[in-house]
Amino acid sequence: MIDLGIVALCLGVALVASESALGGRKLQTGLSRVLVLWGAIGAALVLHFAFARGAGMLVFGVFWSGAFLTWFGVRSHVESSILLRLVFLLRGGGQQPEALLARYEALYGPEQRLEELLRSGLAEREGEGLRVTPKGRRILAAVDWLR
Amino acid sequence: MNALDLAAIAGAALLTTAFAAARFGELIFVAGSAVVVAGGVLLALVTPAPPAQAVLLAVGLALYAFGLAIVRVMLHRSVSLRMLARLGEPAAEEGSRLDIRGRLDDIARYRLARSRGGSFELTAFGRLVARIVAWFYQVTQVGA
Repeated sequence: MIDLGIVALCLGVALVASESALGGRKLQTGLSRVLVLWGAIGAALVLHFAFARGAGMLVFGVFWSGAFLTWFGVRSHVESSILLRLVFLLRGGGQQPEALLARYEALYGPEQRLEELLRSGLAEREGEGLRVTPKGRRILAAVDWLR
Repeated sequence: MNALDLAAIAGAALLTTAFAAARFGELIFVAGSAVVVAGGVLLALVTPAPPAQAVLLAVGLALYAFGLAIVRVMLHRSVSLRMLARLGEPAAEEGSRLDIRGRLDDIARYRLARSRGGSFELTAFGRLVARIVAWFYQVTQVGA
């Protein structure tokens, strides 16, 4: 049970450290530094299992990967979800659909999403317009293949 | 390395394969995940290995499957990915606006809000979700 306590503690540290590293930014902008954090904490725990227990490294490795995937999925989904933003904006009371959409677009609409794509290096400015960067093209190719 | 280590890596490999194979049909991923997670739980219950490892195996495979499932949803629904794919097209922003408009229908479909007198109002479920989301935005500081 001590092992479970250690894992839970490290999970808590990873979550707090990730939020601290992101500092309010979206995941697509700060993913690499978060990956380094989770990798470093996970590697330390794998070494613990290897040397202190002699087994369980792969069990822990799969657990850690699963915990990261779940955190990544939930955070990324909630921070970007239009549906949840609309629900959040409705907290103040009932709104006409057009007013709700206008409020959403003013705060988190296409312009803000384009800015986020630029900040994360997936798109870049080209004269008056925008174009997809090589990094963006790789991601789109992977997404197309997986769909 | 013990039998649970081997089961863990085999389970993760199967889940990853099912995730990639889901492009031929989502059912492959759903069925594959159910089999692997059930197998992990069953193994955790009968194994003579230390209980901590058994718990980590069962929970780990379940988290791995759940995380991949969310990523699959994002692949299909992400407005930012669709916007990136349409970048440079004249109607890119208009397409995004249509995506956003489509989410209004989802609010009613998932019973988060109901339309009353042409105005959207949160249901009890919607208010609960809104409270959780507000807490999440506050903790992560992602522009609440």
